[in-house]
Amino acid sequence: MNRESRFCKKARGSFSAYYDGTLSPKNSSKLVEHFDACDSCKKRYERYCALLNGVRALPRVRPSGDFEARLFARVRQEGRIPARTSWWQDLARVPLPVPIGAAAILLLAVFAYTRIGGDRAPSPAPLETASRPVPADTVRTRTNTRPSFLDDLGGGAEFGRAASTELHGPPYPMEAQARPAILAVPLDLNGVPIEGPYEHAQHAQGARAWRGSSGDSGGAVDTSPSR
Amino acid sequence: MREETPERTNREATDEELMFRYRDGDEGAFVEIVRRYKSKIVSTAYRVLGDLDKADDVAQETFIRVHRNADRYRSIAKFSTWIYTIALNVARNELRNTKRKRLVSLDAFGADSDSEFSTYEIPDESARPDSEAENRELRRIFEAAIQRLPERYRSVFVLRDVDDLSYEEIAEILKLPKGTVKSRINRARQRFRELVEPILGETPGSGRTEEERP
Repeated sequence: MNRESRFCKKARGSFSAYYDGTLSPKNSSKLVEHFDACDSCKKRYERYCALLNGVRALPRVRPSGDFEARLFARVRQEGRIPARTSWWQDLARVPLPVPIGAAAILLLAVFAYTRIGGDRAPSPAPLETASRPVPADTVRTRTNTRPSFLDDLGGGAEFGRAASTELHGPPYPMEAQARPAILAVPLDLNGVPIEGPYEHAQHAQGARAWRGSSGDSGGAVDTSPSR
Repeated sequence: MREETPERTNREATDEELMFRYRDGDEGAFVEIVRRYKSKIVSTAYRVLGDLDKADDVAQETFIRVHRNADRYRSIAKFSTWIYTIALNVARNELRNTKRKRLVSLDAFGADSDSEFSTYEIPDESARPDSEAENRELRRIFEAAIQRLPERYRSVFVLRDVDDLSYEEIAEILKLPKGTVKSRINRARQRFRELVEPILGETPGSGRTEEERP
């Protein structure tokens, strides 16, 4: 292979980057110098540009005439999008392994604390640690059933379809009251039970185990959906 | 207090602003998003799939997913990157499920000027054919060649050379390293040229046109 052919092959390998303007200044200069010396490569590059310019000029393919009508009919069937969610509801969409991992770390820390402190009592079950101050973001890890937790906090009724089944699992139910209340009573930032559409009485036993003797265990954050 | 009508305000809003408005309940914002992107998404899907009806379905599904996930939209990425990502994922699923047609549907580009797809205007360059018939034939050749590209090259080629997206956007949409995107674009263009030039009367590899051969 003669010297000029080697340059030609290298030059042609640079066409794509040169066309996109991503070739370095040094190599761009070399390519331009080669075009001055090699008419074949110069013409080849001109045809290369013409082809790609022709592709760029291809027309947009128009959608069907009833595209928007069909689309909006489907959107209406789907129902209105959920209203803006508050940060804790966004947190509720954190993949399950994250809160499970956080819970595992916390349990290890509690276990280590009790051991180091000389507490000979057996490690409490997760729900029974409510007598100790608990960071708010661990609430969901105890419940471990994200959608129903949000329903009981009154977040379900005002939203339409809140989640895509393909991306984030089953949608939240439309009516929070329709689901059985199986979780502890939600508390605000001060640990005070929040009045809502759910039935407190159904949670009484669980709530007592959760809160202990007072309402200072910390717990769920404000359930009111922010809009 | 705004003096403009909401409809005009949506027309002027950025894509990201429209998504936030829709998230807040402004349905007109979604209408504007559909107006802006329906042709782009259908076109891209068509060139990936080679089937106009399926491209239409892919675009419908794309906008449905945009609607469903509007509450989760955050302006971490450009809206265009996000919607193209959805569209390409839906199109790829469709490719896996159905056998791809190798031939381009010629009806898509209309044999007559009344066709709804006859929107093509050739740039006024001396190297371009003048007649409308030659333009249409050239379009058909290009479209057929795009369909004959291997799928891994076709996606990057369509996104770069048809949709004019940047390397960074393509890398984000296809979840590929930028270097891989550059490399595939280079190979896709070489392959495209090899497919088209024999039809146009130029032999790839010789570096010379018909007129230059002895």
